Amino acid sequence: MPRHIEPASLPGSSAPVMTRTARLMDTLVTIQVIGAAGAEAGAAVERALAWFRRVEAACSRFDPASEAMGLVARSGEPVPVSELLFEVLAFALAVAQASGGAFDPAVGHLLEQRGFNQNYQTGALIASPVAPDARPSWRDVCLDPARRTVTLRQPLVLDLGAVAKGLAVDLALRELAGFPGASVDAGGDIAVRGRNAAGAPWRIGVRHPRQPDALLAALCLTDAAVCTSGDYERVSPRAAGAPHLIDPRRARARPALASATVIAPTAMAADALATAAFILGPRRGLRLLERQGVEGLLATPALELHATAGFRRYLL
Amino acid sequence: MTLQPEEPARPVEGAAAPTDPLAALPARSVRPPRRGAEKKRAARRLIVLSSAAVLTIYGIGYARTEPAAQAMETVPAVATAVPTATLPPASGAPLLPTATPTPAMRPAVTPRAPSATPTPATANAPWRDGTYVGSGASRHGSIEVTVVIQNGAIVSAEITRCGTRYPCSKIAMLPGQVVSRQSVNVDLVSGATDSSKAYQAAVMAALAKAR
Repeated sequence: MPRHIEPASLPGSSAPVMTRTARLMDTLVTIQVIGAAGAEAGAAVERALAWFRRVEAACSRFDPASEAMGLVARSGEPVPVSELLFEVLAFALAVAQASGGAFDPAVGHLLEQRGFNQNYQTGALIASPVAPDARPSWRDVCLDPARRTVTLRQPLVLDLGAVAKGLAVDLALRELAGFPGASVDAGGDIAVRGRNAAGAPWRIGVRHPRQPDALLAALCLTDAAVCTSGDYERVSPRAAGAPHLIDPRRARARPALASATVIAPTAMAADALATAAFILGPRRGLRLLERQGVEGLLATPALELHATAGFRRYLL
Repeated sequence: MTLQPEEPARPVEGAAAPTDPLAALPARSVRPPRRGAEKKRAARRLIVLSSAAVLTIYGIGYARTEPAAQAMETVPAVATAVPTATLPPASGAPLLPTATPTPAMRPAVTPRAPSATPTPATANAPWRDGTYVGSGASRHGSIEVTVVIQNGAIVSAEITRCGTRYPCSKIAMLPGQVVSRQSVNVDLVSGATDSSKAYQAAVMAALAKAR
């Protein structure tokens, strides 16, 4: 997971910093605002955090009352949805197409079956009415851009986690555009703008996939997002060793990568593409990233590294 | 039964750069996509899509991003120009990105009172929606940029022709800055200041056509 590297502090040269942490979307969200610490900054941070709640209300797979889960029972009919959910779905489907279906937002039922089915706030378990032998895919999700409706061809559970979290980060960061610098970190999905407290571009470390206290790489960047998908993040409470990143094209997920890190202009794209690249593996994953014009670093379980041509530019 | 909690992000002590983990990378060159116009459009498509999505949702603000089921009232339908999302059709036919806004009838939803009014991206929209090409010159050659405006905001500012003597890869991070900052005030890249200025001039030329 990418994490901040604290800048070496010089006496008397640091700008005021406001830091706020909250548990949202089942992850720890940390926001830093540089250059202001008063009521105005506090209000902006609150607005930034509010975006996480909004995205979660639309996209959560763990809340039966979320807008996305409300679609499961209404398969076969066009359902008008909020602009937020529509855009998330449009993007998720575009990533599905670009990755040849390796990234598939329509296989949430597989995650449920593997035990990733508990609401982190209420503890309630979810079990959606998708038949065990059903094989839904992203092609079963149809969007009508003129009417802004969604039609599911068959009952399916939308898993929008990768896209939704990135979007929330991007929206939150946009609330902080008025300050000299800002960073939004949601469980390791990090987007930054402006300058850090030391007046320099932000420094972000990419965690080593096997040594929790070591770094795979140290990056220097701003006005960008960094996201990592790794096989160490969450493991299934049911299927021993089964990760939460599923390749819907294979019965058993045996990832060819230990981690995939992507740098992109938005966290929405970085998160989705890191997930897609992770599933695709080193060769096809790298090709996808290069085609989409983002930089990335892929690490195999044996710690062979594969990087896009321009990734080096971001190394600290 | 609880899921394994993620480790909270924490600052890493010791900012000294580790030995270059990429030093052992084999020298691997991958041919960049061909520069045909169609390839250019297809490449980076997801970046443009995500930027547009963020700006659209942010610009709409708290109204109309509420789930439809929670809408309290609707008012009579109002014609609104919306950008046509680029969507994968179910049949898998190739997509053509659409820059022309399509008028759509959409019910306006009475917004809940937000805690503070966010500044929508369209509030001071100085630019007209569309696709604009601009060119900037330097002593090393010229750079052409294509700027796409949707909902009054810049969703992309990609280099579509690199005529400089030095490769434009050195300034590859600048298009992202334009979108992020919604302005031409990009950084000057150390070692590529002439190209940076040419890029900036190209963006300004394109935006001038958008007024």
